[in-house]
Amino acid sequence: MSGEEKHKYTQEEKESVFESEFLPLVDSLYNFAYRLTLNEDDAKDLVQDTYMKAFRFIESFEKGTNAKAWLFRILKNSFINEFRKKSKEPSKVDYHEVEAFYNSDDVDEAITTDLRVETVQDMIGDEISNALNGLDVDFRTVIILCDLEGFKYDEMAKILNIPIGTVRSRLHRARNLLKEKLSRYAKKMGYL
Amino acid sequence: MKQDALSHDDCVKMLYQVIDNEVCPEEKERFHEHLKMCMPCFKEYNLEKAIRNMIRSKCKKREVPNDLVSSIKGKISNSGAV
Repeated sequence: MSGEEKHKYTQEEKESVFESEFLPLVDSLYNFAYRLTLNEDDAKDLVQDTYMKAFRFIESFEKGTNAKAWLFRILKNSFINEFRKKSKEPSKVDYHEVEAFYNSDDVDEAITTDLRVETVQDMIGDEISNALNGLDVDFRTVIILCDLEGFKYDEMAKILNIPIGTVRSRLHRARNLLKEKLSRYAKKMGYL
Repeated sequence: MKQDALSHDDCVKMLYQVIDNEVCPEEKERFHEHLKMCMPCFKEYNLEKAIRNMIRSKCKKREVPNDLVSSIKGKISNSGAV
């Protein structure tokens, strides 16, 4: 994605790209929006906003490139710029501090939990979902993009506008945090 | 051509990249060679796989609200008319 290059579209072309390439992704976009905002109305607003922007800036979309990654990027940026600003509860942690810490080398250390495969498989959907939703939004996001939406690291780097090494370390940290949550949960329920 | 076996530390670093299919086939093979000999890695790999599968199967897709697409189309055709 060069990003800067503009493509002239006629009105019909705009409508056809919108109809055939963008609208079929509404399901994935809505689910992503919901997992970011954890609220149905906010998710709807965010998706509408994303489509409005996509239509307005359609000339920076190169036909034949990955429309899904492009739309996810717009949605993620809208979330950061508008939604997060409005949100009543400000982020509890200083993000840059967290990032600096988590990008340090010790990120690659394996954390050992006493979680076992069978324990995980016995968990019901709500437990997994709650553990995921309980992660800080930046950590939640990488897991959603990678595990639920199947994006590759390079696509995630573009969507999130971060270097690929940061994608890798953030994902690593996110998964460790998720494992810790699941393990704590399993202990509480007496599974472990 | 036989390459040196991976160290345990290398393997730990590679684990997620293997699971996410972000390594080349040769690296993947070396990783799986290591798994045959290393019980902690083997267990960790299976646990991570199980968590991935649970996330995929248990985090249910939410239904898109009925009026969402029509409301998007409405807004677009209004703005397109300008």
